[in-house]
Amino acid sequence: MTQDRLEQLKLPAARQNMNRIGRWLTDVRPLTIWERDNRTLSYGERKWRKRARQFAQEVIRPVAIEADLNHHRYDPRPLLREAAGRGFLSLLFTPPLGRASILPFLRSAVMQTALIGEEFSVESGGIGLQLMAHYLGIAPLLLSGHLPSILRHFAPLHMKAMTRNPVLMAFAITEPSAGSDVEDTEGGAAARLITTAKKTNKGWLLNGRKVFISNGALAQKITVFAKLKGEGLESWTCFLIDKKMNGVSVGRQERKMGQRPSDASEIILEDVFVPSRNVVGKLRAGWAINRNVLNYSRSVVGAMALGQARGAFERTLAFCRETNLGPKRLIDYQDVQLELADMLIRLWAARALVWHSCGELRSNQAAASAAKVFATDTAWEVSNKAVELMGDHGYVQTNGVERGLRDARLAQIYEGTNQINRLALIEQQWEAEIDKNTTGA
Amino acid sequence: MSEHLSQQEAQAFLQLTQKFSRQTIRPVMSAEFSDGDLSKIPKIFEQADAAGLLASSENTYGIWGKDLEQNSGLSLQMLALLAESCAGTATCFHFRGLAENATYLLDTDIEKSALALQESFGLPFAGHLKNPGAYHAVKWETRLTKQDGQWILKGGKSFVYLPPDTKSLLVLAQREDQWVWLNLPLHTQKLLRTEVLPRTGLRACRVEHLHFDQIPLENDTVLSGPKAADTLHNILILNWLGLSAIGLGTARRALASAKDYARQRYQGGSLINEHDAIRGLFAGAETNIQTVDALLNAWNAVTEWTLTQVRQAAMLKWQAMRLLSVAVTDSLQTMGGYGYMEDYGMEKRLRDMTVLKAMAGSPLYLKRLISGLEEDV
Repeated sequence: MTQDRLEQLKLPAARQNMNRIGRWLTDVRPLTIWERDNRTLSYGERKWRKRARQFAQEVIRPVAIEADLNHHRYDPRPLLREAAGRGFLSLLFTPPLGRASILPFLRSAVMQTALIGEEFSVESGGIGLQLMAHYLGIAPLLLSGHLPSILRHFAPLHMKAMTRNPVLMAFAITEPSAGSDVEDTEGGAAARLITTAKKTNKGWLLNGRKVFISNGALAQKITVFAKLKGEGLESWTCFLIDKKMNGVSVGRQERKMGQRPSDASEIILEDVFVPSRNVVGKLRAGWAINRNVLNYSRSVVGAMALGQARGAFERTLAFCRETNLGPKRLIDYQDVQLELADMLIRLWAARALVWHSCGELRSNQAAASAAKVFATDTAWEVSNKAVELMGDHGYVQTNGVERGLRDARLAQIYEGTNQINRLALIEQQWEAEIDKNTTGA
Repeated sequence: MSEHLSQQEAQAFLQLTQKFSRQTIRPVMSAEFSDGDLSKIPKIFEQADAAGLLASSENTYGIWGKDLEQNSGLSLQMLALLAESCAGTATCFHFRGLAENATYLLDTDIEKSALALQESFGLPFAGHLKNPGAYHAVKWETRLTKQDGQWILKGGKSFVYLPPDTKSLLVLAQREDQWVWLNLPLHTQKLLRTEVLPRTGLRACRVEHLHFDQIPLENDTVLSGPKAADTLHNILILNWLGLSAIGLGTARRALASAKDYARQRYQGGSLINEHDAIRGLFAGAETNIQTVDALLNAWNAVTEWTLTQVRQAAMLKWQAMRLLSVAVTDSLQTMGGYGYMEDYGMEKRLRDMTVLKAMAGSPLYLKRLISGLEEDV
């Protein structure tokens, strides 16, 4: 009897007492949050989001645990070729150069990549990074705005990325003594850089080292940033190097806590001759290109972290649904429901900010940094909650929940630590609102 | 009977522990493996026994030795010092000490045992604590039943931490409406064991799931009596205090490592420990660590081990782990990408803290217990 009354008081039943307009105004459709969010997207965005989710579930999920636990034995190339063939590595431009849907691309250059980045990372943060780091590597070629670089390098490489035989790219800015320094204005002014380009006949000679380069070992081409000999960071210039060039070698591969399928490698440059045609953009434009690439990619990093935490959440939810405690399933307990609700709210809020930060064609430093900080911090909190909710089962690695936690922790560090990103937001808003004298306004 | 250690003696014992931690455990952790060379853990255990760090019937001053009223604070400090080098190794010491203390409380002299407490659903709930049969909502699974005049053990245990050289298990079971403890040799027939692998952290200590496939028991296996429930309360308290102390040592070392790094690494032309962003993280971490230290110190003088203390220990574990996890993750953050790499040891501390927080009473479980025991105390 009580159960009957309870059912009558729930909104789907209670709305039957309203007139037709009242019923229409009451939305009780049993949609998931994913489906509700989907309805706010354009057709092209929905298409890529759906395809990416399908790819993640069918192709990434079966290998995710093995790729994390035994990453040295995992060969990512078949998966990368499959992803490329389905168009997932060529969304940085529209047809005929790429496969991004045209109308949404004109509203936001990175929204479609953010959408697929989240979906891939739900199943594996490391494989998600492997796929998305390619975009980071190729982005300078486009964002340089330099027509010769775009026509000579970006167009053929991006078109090649539509085939099952893509040329994988990586992005190399970090140096042994300069991590945050190359992601922040104040740090950059005093950065201790060692990678140097020296002018030679018909080109440049590069020497130095880059570290923590995502996909550094896997990629075939790398966009490398180097200062010009005798000058400082203001002379930073972007060069496109091929791993086959003489003098390029891969050094140490880092042993990471998470995102393990994707290598983080040292790139050693010893008298590497780079032809002048491989200078990306203008000489000394490297610092601006680098900062702008980060401004475009930080929203995507936020989306990826969101995906990692969503994966942890979804696996915890499945556990709570399938596990009984006494007469009830875990999801039937109110205290568990409160925890689940809290996780859903945080994930939803983070997605809202990530999508909002992708709301314009050109990326914006403040919005991108805000999205990166909020989404990655949220991912850390949510994945911690997911592990805690499962108790001892949470730290058994084959359950796949703690992987979200290990993966999400890196997102708070790379592409500028979250402290650096907070300061980037202040830097961007300084003139407009932070240091603005509003007295009497 | 043990004697109360003088302050000087206690200090000497702590110095010995610190020396053991630094000279015997830490070199093993510096090996090429992210969790240290785990094959060396049994040897470390032997050396610890010889050094007097492990409690036994003859050594009352080892970790969780008999005389808790005098020496519980000492055990907590020892665990923290060991955890500064490796939380997983400290966990081995902790669980061996807990079992040793339980055998003392149960008035037996079984040595080298491990505790098998948790059911598949976890630890006892508030309703179980006095009388396992009184809480019908979640039934205790490990039970003794009598068949043809013989006691038969059925059920299973989950996430049993087994220190090296464990010979037997102290199993918490229900007989009719009472708690009983059983002494079960590790190689008993029909005792099915499955190692829990792979795990996020605390990998130095082996973990198993156990299944009791209708094991017939001899009468002398059952260690029942009026002290059975008290022993359970005692063990719960010591477990949460000890794990909190291990977390404390882990966080203390994480902060010290991060500060070392910050004194050597430059960003923006100055040492990173001169940046407000870093100093703020350090200040927060240190505050959290000092807070937990103070909370643990409050247990030095505790002489009662009732449900009131069970509740307070649950509060301590919940909040200590929360604060210490923040301290560790913030310490890691100050090291940037290097903090995330295995070579610097920081990521191991974070993994270990993650396990410490979730194991043997997750925050959700502890909240339930704290609210469930409110009326009882």
